[in-house]
Amino acid sequence: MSDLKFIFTGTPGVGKTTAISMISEFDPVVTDVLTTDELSEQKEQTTVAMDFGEITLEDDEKIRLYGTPGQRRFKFMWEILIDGGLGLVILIDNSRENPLEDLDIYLDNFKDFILDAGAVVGVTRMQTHPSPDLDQYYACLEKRGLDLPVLDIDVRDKDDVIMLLDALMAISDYD
Amino acid sequence: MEKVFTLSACCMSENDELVLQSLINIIDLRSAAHWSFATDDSANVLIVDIDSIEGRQLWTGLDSSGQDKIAIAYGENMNGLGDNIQYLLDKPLRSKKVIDLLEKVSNQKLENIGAAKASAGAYAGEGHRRKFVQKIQELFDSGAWGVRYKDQMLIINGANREAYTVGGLSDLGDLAEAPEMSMEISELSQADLTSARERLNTYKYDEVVWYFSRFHSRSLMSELSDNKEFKIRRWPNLKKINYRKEDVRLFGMLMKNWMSMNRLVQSEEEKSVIGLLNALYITGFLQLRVDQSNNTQMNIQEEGETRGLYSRIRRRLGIA
Repeated sequence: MSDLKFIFTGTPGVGKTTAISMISEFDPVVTDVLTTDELSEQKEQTTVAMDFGEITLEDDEKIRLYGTPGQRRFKFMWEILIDGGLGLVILIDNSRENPLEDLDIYLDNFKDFILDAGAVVGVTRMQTHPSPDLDQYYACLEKRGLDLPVLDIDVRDKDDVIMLLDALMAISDYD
Repeated sequence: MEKVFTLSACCMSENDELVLQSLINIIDLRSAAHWSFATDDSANVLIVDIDSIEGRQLWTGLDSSGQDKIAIAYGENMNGLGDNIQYLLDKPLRSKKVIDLLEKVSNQKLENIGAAKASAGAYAGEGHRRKFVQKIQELFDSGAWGVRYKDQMLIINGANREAYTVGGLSDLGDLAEAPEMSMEISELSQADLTSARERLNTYKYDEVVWYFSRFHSRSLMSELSDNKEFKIRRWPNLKKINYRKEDVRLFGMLMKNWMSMNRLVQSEEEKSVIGLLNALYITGFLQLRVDQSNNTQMNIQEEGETRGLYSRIRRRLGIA
């Protein structure tokens, strides 16, 4: 049986594990260890391999949900995890210093996969940090010739996470 | 007579300039005039970063040059610019503020010269669309709010105790007074009205415009009755509109392909499609294809393996 999966990626601490936990049938399997670098001020633990969740369809087919480690030093895992994926969810934390630069990193590193399978961008913490706004994200994508949905979401809201996946499937449907 | 505005970013950061360039298409769609971006001296609308030394010098030079250009001061420190500054834009750059300001610039200039946009890509109903949106914007700017009442959306203007709804399908979407609701709220004291607003589930501007556009102003879409093609480059902010589950698939379809009314209604329920297109049009997201001579023949995909899988995933997530 081939591995049907969606991949969640994004900046450290943006909420990839939380997003997966919102829709996974079980608590995500995490590979977190104590954070010892500069990220430790932001979060106590960080993912070193992947997060893993799952949903089961009516015919017992499994859809796997993988979260990549956020830190760039684990970039080798990104390439392993996306292999054969149905699509990519890119989560960007709008409270970080330069969210658009963060987005550029993921668009660069997943360029081929995005062109092949599709992606959606979920921007978190816009309620408290409204800038950059969604138009600026679209400007960033348009510079690269990419037509991808950009959604204002809260990863703690199950409906928002489902909306992200629905948007990803919507653009993949018509590619 | 066509009116053309060309915008230039003067002494601005590269990032700000890129943002402006990206917003031009939206402004061009929404405005009754043509808008484009220029990087040379040909621009007739300048946004000048007056926080920089060069920007200040340029601003002073514009004032005394007698050139017929529209200058917009952009910055944090507006001191020393003089008293007769017509257009100001404060930092940081916010897309909505830029769009609203440039729409205001073009509306004011167009009223002065009596010009109207007339291009192959424009809707004949463009003027009505603008008026419709402006009316609602003015109401909300003066403190109005939206509320659902007896299965319809109303705008309540507490200041003059009037309630508005959207006219019927035969008109062009003008606002009409809702007499029954107006009578009810005219009998409320200000305290009771304030209390009602706090208790009720109220709706903001974006939600009201989306609802009205979707369910009422059908005739604004008459220009799309033939094979004209359109798509969207950006999705509306789904958090700010009352969208339906099936809308998400349509947004995906419209983002990925140039579509026409004929092709859309083959596969989707016509009423729902028209309403959604109307809402996308009125809120400025729908992009009309300029070169209609190169219409593509997009085939609605058959129920392939992936689509079948996605249907099952949607059922599992409870959104099918």
